Amino acid sequence: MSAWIIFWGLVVLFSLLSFTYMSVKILIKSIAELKSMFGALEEKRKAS
Amino acid sequence: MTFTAVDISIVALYIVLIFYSGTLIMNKYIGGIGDYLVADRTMGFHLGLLSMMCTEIGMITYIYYAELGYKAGLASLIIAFPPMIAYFFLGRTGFIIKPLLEMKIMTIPEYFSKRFSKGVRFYVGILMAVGGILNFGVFPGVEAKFINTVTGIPQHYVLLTMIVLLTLVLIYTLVGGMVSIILTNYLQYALLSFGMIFITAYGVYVIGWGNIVDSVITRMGEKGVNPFFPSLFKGEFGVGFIIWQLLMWTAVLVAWQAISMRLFSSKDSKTGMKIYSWSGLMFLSRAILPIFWGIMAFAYFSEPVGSLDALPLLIKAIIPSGILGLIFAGLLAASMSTYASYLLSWSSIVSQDIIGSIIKFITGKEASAKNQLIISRLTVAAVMIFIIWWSLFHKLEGYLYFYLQMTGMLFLPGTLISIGLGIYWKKSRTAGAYLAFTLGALPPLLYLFISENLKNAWASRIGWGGFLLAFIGMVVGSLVQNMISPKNTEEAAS
Repeated sequence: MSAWIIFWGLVVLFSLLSFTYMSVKILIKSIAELKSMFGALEEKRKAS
Repeated sequence: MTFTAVDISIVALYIVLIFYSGTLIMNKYIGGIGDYLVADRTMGFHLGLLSMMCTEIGMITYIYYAELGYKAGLASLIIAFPPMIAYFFLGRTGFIIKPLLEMKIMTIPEYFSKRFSKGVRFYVGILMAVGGILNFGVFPGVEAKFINTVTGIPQHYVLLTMIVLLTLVLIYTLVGGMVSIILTNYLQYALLSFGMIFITAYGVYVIGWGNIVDSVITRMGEKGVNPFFPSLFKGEFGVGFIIWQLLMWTAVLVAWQAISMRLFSSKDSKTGMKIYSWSGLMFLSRAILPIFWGIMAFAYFSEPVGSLDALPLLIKAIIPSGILGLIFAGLLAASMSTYASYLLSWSSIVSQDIIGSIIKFITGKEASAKNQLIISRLTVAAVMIFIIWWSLFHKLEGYLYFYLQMTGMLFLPGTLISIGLGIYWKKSRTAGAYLAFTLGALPPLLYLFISENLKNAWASRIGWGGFLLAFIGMVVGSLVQNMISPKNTEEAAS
């Protein structure tokens, strides 16, 4: 049972840290992609 | 803690921001059904991942996972692994999803008209709409009760809470479609990720890891820690459960309209596969953290509380005022993006694959782009009215998580088997697809009608049994059709 408790502790810790890291990364990098997406849609709108 | 004026102001500010960005800015970008449903396939990797997470993390996600944690302890954390494995597998290998991406389809049923027949598309559309809407139908009721518990609104106002929540979502979904959802997802993800990280870290700080483990061991015994207790085959989360979940999640990632729409919105197949690979890691946290909140609630409350009330009561009890408003806005954010995306997803199935097919059958031609958009918006409104009604009158039994999976299973086994064998087995035929969908839907249909005790005891067997029957149906149906009519004239177009 102790092995399971240690395992679940590590899983929770890993999930929290990886989620924090990925969330920060996604939020920063998405800004450029949002600009590019709206740029493409704007061009399409002007062309039509 | 009580919900103060500061908390209310934070939530109000959030709603104004979302409403403004969703309705006023985006309307000018929406030209046709392609913009409306898949954002004209302009979504990059990070935005795709963010959008995927927003869609698949709703208040309901927190509630059903926390219920599992509250009822089954640390052992239930095992549930987080099958989705992660399925995502990695599909993302790395491109199994099924790569051929689908290369076909440039907008909805899964479209595949069936290309590979099998228009009749199969229509049949699948109906099963998907029924399963998806029954699944979605419990969201407003469960979430409105959650909102009322956290904010202190009396429970007899649950209908009003539902209507306010859905009206807000409906306004910007109807106006902006997928482009609007992608933009508002950004703000929503910032809030929901903050909320998830804060509740976990602060909860452990307040309750203590040692107390959490002690409570589980003392009150649940080994069953609360070891998912395979008493044995690998007899455990609640044993081999049968794992097999069902692996099949289920593979099917969800291929055929769940809200997820596959994200896949089809990506700008190329490489981006789509990359989104899936990384979603695996995110989906691990998506399950682990809320399950852990349920376990924290179990440790925090020494007296039993309702399993669906445990999480809102914990949030209300431990989160300080001010932060509570921010967390609540995050929870609301999670729900609004899920609602918007699900409304759009299921209504696109109804409008494109059911109503669209009927119009084409009667008039002999496709509806115009403008009419498609009008039908899609009217369907969104109709779906919303139905889920309010279903939320009010349907009584939930067994784990909420299992109810949601079983309603999805009305079409998921047939879809996975028909798409998988449709792509990789040249002898698969229309009769096989019909039989796979019909047989695959029988076990989950049975689940919805049996007693609560049987539901808990038979869930795993009903789960993997649906996939086995769908497989048998596809093989038998195809072989019989190949014997009777060897020439594949009907499916020549594919």
